Amino acid sequence: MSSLQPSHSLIVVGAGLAGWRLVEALRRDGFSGELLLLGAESQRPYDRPPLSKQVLSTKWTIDRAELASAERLKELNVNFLASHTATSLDVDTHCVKTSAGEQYRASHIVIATGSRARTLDYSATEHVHTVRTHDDVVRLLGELSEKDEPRDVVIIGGGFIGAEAATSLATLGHRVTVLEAMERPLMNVVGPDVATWLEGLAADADITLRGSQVVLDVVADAESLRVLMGDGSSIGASLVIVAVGALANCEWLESSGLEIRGGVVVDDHLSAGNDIWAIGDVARFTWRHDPFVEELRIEHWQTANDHAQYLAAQLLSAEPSPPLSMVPYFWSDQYGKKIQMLGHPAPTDEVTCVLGSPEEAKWLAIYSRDGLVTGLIALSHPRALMMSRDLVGEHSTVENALALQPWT
Amino acid sequence: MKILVNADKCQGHARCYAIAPELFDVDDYGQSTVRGDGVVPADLIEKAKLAIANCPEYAIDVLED
Repeated sequence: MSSLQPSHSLIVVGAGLAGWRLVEALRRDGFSGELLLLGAESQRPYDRPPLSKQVLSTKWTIDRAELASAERLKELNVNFLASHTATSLDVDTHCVKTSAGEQYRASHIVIATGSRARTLDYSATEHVHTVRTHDDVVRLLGELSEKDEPRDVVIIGGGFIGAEAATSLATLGHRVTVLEAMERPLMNVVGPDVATWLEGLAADADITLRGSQVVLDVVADAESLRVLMGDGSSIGASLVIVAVGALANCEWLESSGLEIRGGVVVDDHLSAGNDIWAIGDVARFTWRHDPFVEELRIEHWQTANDHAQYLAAQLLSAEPSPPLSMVPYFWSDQYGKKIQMLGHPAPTDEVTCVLGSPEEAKWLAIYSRDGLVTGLIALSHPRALMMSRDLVGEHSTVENALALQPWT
Repeated sequence: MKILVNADKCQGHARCYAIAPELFDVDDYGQSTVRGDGVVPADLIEKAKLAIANCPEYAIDVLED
């Protein structure tokens, strides 16, 4: 007998990609019981990746990022409540309380509250933008539209979102400066070698990128903003964006008794016990991929999607499910190029370029640890990357990879 | 089942090709197309569903179930 029967009910707390894809998959695969989807934001479920790309560059209007229309929610018989922020969970009674004081109960609970943009405390914080939500991007575009002229934009943080926002705003004609705290952006993700290969891309896109930057404060004067730097200098800007990563939305569970460590700790089946699960950005999950075992949290579209599909299948399966198995994937559209990564390599893993070269800004590289392939990363080489996917899934030896050359 | 890749939505991830190379082809830029007329053989329907669920751009349309 499967875990989820038609007589059961399920509350999905969080209406981002993970929550919405779970609901969709459960209905697609035959669950007919009651489904309640609680969203903290005022919009219906929408997709975040386009916000910093197509929407910020004004190629799309923001409504194109919508994932679930009112008709679709009705068709799937999902009770969706927007602007309902969960404030606590009782793990014994499965009671979810919201900020408006309502209480909801169900036989099964899925935590999918995602993550939020990390902010920094500046004197002029109220003038500083983040790029994470629908409302963030509406506010940012609204401010840009007040004056029809190129702006001086400073972006604090050169990671994925910082670089994507920089690219989008530069294509609109704004003068963009990106301030990165590390010597080079993404060193902590892609490792020092690959970070070096990516370094020239910003300049090619007419974006000023500065590494090893210490930002002390952002202050406002009558007409503009000023970014105060650690070396005593300052940079004037009419718009400042901070893009320094994300934090899991798990504070609401602190009194629940669930194990929280920068995320909701779940096992290799995404279970927190007692018919409670966590998926997507908020889940700190165990990932077994022989010979490696890791406990991690991944904030990418693909992982949210993988978690949702895996959990739906597990809840509806009559047989015990195998542990979560996946090949993580992420992409980022930076400075006019597409970066894609398969696997979850450590920044300290060894890197071997196997196709193209950094000079031609088109390459494919292997990450390896103890002689085993742990990941693949490509710049503008999507086909070659995907042809080589099995190397990561199977943790092939580097020797074998170089002999097979599946990318050719 | 019959499927089609919406060329306007496809952004060149080549995910469909990684999952179901029997059904999709991609060019060097990752731009994807269905092989043949897009009719999915019965034994590949699960793979087709997996590819549809894994397209980050929601670019694979189902023309006939």
